[in-house]
Amino acid sequence: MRTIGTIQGNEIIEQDDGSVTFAAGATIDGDGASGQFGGPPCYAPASYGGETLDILANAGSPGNWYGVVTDREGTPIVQGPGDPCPGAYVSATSLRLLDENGKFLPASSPFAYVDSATVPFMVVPPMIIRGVAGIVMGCRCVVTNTANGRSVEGVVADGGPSDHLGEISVACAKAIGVPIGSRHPANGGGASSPTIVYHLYPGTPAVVNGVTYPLQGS
Amino acid sequence: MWLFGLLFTGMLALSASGATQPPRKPGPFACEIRYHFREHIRDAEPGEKPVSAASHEREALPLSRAAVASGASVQLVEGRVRHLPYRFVVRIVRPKGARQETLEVNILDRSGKPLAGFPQRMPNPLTRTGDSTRKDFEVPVSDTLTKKIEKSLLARDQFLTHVTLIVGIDDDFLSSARAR
Repeated sequence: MRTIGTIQGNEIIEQDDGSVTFAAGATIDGDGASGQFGGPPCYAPASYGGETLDILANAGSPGNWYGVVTDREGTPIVQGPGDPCPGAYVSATSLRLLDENGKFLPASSPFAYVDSATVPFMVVPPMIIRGVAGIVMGCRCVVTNTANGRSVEGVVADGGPSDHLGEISVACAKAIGVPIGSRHPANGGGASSPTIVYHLYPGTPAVVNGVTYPLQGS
Repeated sequence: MWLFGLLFTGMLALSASGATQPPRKPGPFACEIRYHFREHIRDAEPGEKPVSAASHEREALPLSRAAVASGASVQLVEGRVRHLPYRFVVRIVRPKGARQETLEVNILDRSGKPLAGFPQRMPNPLTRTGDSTRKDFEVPVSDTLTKKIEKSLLARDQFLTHVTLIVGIDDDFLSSARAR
């Protein structure tokens, strides 16, 4: 057992079996939600009538978009009539998904990313990705809310800031009873106290809802 | 005997109408300011996500306190935070005899003038069950203030995306506010 590092006073431990554990609060990440499986998208233009998981300001503004997928000119891609959520933007996770031939799905595809609205996933800082031998992105994780004993299997699907620890998808928050925001689930929710225990298994591909996720080295 | 019966019946009627009952009071709530940010990923390859997931720093306002104003029961949060030049006044008001509470949010600048879009008043949307334990309000910040917050609060490669005021009544939110 060794300590990989400490972020916000919370120790990140690599266990003897190569798995990684830490306890922290939980911020909510809406990224990756584009209505792939019937849930709300993370971001959409102001003209979009439905619910979104996050405030558009978290994705950028005209001339400076960073939180949604854009074309080469930097203009956000808006989903069309044949897409799962027409009128919404495409939101990305660090984990990119593959087609049936094992190749990356096109970056503009809503299905290329992990859906925060319906898939339990967690977010990790670079310290963990670089600090262990096994591949972290796409690996199995188990997230437990010690305040109520609820636990869920998930996938490590996104990269977080270097100095923050403990972030989960909207679906993960709902599964373990972490409060979400009423207007924008990813914006107002979260757990402040370090009552969430994270256990991830680098090198072991996650299987969630029957879907096996690819391990993605950086 | 009939006089005693009349008096007893009258007391029961008064009690049932609530005239002798104290008004039900709004429960405690907490408020915090969230400074939402992302971090540029320096070594991102073309086609890779160029920024981190969104996260936030936070500053708490004082926990709510009970008050009475014009016969109404009030829970009030009033205060300032270090990184904004604003005063926050958030009230949950239950008028005497009313069942419906009102949530009032006001943000004032240094001169005491409300910011654009404030005050806001609405039927209290907060409930202790389901997904309605928190409500967020966008806090306007100028470009100059954004730069100042980034310099004083955020780390290298991080940039502010927006600022929100969160009003919440769930146990996690309340216990976190009490702990600070």
